[in-house]
Amino acid sequence: MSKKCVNCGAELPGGAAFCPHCEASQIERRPVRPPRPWRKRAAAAAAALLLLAALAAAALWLVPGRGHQPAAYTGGAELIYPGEDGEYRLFLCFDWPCIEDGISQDLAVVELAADSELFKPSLFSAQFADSGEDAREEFCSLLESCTVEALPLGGGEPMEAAPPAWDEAFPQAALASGVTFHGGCGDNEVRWTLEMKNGDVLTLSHTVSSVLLREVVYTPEDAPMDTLSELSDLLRHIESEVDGGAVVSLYLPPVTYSGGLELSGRAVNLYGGTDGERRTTFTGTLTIASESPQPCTVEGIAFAGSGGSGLSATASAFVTGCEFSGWDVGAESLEGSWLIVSGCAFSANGVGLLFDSLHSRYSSDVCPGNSFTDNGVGLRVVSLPGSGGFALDNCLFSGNGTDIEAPEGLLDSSGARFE
Amino acid sequence: MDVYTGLMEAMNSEYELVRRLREGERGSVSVVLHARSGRRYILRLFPGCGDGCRRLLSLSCPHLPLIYEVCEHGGSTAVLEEYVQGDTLSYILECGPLPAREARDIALQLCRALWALHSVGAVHRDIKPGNVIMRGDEAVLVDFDALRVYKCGQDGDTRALGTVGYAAPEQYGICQSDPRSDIYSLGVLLNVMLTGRHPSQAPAGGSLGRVVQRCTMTNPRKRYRDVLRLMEALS
Repeated sequence: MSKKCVNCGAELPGGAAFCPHCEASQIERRPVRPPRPWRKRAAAAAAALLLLAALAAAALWLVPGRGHQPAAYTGGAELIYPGEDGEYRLFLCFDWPCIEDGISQDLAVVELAADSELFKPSLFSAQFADSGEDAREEFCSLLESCTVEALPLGGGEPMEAAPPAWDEAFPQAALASGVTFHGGCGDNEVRWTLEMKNGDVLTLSHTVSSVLLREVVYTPEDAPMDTLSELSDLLRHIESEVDGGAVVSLYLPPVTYSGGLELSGRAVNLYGGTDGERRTTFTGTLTIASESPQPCTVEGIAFAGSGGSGLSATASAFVTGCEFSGWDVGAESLEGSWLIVSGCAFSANGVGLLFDSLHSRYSSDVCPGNSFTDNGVGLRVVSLPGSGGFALDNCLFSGNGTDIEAPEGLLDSSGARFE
Repeated sequence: MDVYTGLMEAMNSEYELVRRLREGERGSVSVVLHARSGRRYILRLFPGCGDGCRRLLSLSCPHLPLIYEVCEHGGSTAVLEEYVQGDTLSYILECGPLPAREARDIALQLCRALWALHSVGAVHRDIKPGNVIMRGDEAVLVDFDALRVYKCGQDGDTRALGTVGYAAPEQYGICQSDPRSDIYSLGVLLNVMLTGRHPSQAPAGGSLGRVVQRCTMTNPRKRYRDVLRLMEALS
């Protein structure tokens, strides 16, 4: 379908907005302007009214006998508190991304093996209720004292809640309290009691639930796992067939897996085996990128490489009794992870063990019993989550180009031996 | 004959190519001259659809170039738009940072441009000094190469676009860029106008520094919710 130009009459396609011959527009345009800033005027008027009201209220305070009547405010994981200068939104959570996003968390369910102990942070923060902006400083200036208790629910065993304090590991939280418990101890209410300078008492609480992990074990007798292909097939089978609530442990045969393996999805524990001289060995990179909050365990496995990384993690893992040799980087703990390494041997690598992570669900204050020999750099720490470091108790450093590269004061090497 | 074919035929017969500004896999941008009137235009040719630009056809805003025609054919789009004469902000900033008042005025004008874009559901995605032309005292936001229509609930943009340093974190493909991505980039631009450098290197101080800080929060939810609120903060 065609039309004629509104200006010169030239033949134009039906949908043309412009005549390229006479340069005339064929459509009407509407000017777009943002609305007038009524909000500023309204806000100014409201502020003026508020000031008048505040002056009136202040005048009342001068009358003998008048004063603030302390009150109690009780909430769950969230509470709106009417402060003198405006409302505060107070909230509790467990995870640092929720602090950043201002999301409260009522419940944390942790699946844990019976003989495991875990520390879960209970985090408190404050925002201005109207704008959602950070109000930690303003609120804490009104705070007299704060306590945290862990109260068993429904027959659970008591957990231990540390006194609340500002924690550099969670810089966005006003206060943090570490809650420690073991697997299967049941539910506890984590109750925060805040006493304000004006006598008000605020109570917030959320729940930690510790449930026992069910373990599913695979041995070479249960499923073929002599080759990387069989191992990969088994992992795929596990991902689709085993329910997500179970922890899966693979006891590997003493074979050499030529190539790398990736653990994504659920956390899977890998235990290496030995038979005389033979032991479970990987010649390619083991990548730990599990989406599960549960850290996995890698134990008793040799990683023999020629370049690249032996173990590369973006999810936390316990690495125990393993050997890393011949890699550019023996084991690396990258963003999102903390490798809890103990009793491992790092030899003839470019870098034996590397930490370069700013955030992780887990941390450890020890890295004990490891040996670093003949590496270019034995241990390199670029960054660690939070502010804490770890102690190198009973670690041996020998024959390395550089034993340790780390920010000053981060690591405690007083228990290590240097030859 | 469709609009695209008609436009291209006219380009070949009645216009002259003045200068090719850019050519690559994202298409080409050229300055063309109407032979009879001597008036200049920008002609953009790029693969894909021109949804975003088409929404600007019926708008007029002093801080956006007029879009004269948007047409598609065989998977390609042609956009004919106003040629804005003037120095780019990047050229002006080579002489050093701007006084706070001037930086603020430019930022306010760019907010008006963004208001117009966002009001039709478009996101610019490439706000930087090189894409701001000073037409006298008037700042004009140009170069809609990265323009995209924002669709609620859609997962990630198909490609990461924008200029490194100015692009909001979410523009690196993690989640869909939305109007707050433009607010991020404008915050970076404001800081560059004030200090000559990226906020991560030389954060601006004072009240405008606080505006920059809020614009460039990593979490989009912590930025100004829309350009209106940003304009109020700047005012």
